[in-house]
Amino acid sequence: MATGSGAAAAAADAEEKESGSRMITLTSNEGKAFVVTEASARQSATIRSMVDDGGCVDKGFPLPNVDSKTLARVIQYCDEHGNKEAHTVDERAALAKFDKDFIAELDADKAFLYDVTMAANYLHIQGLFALTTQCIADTIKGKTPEEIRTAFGIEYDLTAQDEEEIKEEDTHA
Amino acid sequence: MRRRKKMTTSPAAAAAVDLISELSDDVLLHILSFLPAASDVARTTVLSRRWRHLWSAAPCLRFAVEPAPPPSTSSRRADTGSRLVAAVDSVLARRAIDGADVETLKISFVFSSSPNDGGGGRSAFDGDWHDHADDIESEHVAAWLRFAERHVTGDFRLDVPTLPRQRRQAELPSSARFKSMRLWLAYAELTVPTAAAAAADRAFAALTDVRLSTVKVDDVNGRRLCDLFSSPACCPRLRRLTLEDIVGLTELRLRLDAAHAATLETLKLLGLPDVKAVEVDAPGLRELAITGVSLDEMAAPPMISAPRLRRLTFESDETCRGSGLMVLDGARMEIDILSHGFSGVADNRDLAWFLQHCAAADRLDVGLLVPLGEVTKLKGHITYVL
Repeated sequence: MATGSGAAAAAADAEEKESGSRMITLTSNEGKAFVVTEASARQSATIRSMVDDGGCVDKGFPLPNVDSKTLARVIQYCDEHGNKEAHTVDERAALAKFDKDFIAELDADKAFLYDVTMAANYLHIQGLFALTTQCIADTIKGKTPEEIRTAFGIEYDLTAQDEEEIKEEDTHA
Repeated sequence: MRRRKKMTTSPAAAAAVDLISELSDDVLLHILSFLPAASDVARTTVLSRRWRHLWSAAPCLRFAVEPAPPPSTSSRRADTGSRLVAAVDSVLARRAIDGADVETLKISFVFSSSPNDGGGGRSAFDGDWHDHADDIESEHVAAWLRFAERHVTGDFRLDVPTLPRQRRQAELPSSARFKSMRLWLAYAELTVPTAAAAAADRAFAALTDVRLSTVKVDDVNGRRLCDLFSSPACCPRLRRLTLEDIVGLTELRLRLDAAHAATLETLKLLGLPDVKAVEVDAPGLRELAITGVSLDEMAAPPMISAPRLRRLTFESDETCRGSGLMVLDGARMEIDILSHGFSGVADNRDLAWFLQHCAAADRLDVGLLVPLGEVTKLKGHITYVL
């Protein structure tokens, strides 16, 4: 940044704050630091409110609930949505394509998909959370209970009493 | 994120580890809220103990016909419809017993043409399109409305495309907890509470968004409807109001008292064929859309006072004559007017009159939509237009 009078520097600072070009450090539960743009970090409502409340931006934000692998993937999403413009039709299409590829990759690795979902929930990244939960919902949609159990590896552990209840409900339905 | 690794016993699923069940209730409920049909949600109750009672707390219940199957498969469509009616009834009945409130209830038998079907979708109403909704009776509608009044704490939407010709009736549901209400009621005769009764019950205390479509009102209920939306005691938070395809509404008078918080920001009047008088006084109004309202047939010029208006959309098949549209402070206003003027047949005098009365406007963008054959006729005049 060019040196200048105090006022000019303050104005430049304000402008920098405005444009979200400050860098913010996010630390995973394994202690690994990730440096991201403020615009990217602001995709998370949790971090956004900490920044806006005058949180210690310089010290960075430790995220005790998120591991490095998950955080790296979450940041990939935030960078794409926070750092890029989405004004023109082409830009929006590019972003939609990114989302599509992003979720397709996660869908192939369900365990990782849940980790990213939990992180998106914890960090309040609305778009990402909607994307991952929608993906999980799509897997449930239109399937029989047995198909759902197979798809997610859910163990059948209903007791005879539960089964009785279910039968009861079905006759009322 | 730590998790318990739990292997299933089935050898076929040996590689699958049940991780989804370890997501928190909040997340699982959110996932359930994405399921398009509540029957999908109900099916999850038999998955395992973890899922057994989860759904009874599901915040959103959505029942909707899937995107329209082709009309040729009409037996399948009818089948889909009657199964959906049964699913709605059974899920709501169980939910009523459980007593857990519902944040969002959406019941839609209208095929949406696009996912973001904000207002249109009326094209889906051509011809013999409603065989799938033949099983819906006024009694179903009454029961669903009653359930919503008692259990819905946020957004309520009911779209019913057809009802049997006899006994097409419905009561406007009221709940101090509704945040938004969207009703499409197949031209049922609507009964509306008086403003005084509604205010005493705090009937619409939290309501911010209303879209009322395809209903029929008589003079008494039409007047009550206007009173309801005009009264700050009834609808203290109303911000967006759309009245669409309402038959029998002859006088539209919305007088929002400036002394009270004038919360109404968006007003859309779409297809009100019987309206003969319009009087809107909305001090806080920012956006106004009028489509399919015959202003020229009115006994007295429509009076609309909206000093904070920023965007106006006006579309009419007829040119509007002598309307007392009063728009002040429109410096940054966007106006979208579709005016049908054919050369030699009609002129756009009224449109010009209107624009001349937007005294605060300092910029005008004009878009021309010209039928292909007319282009040559226009050529000689284009410089004049510009």
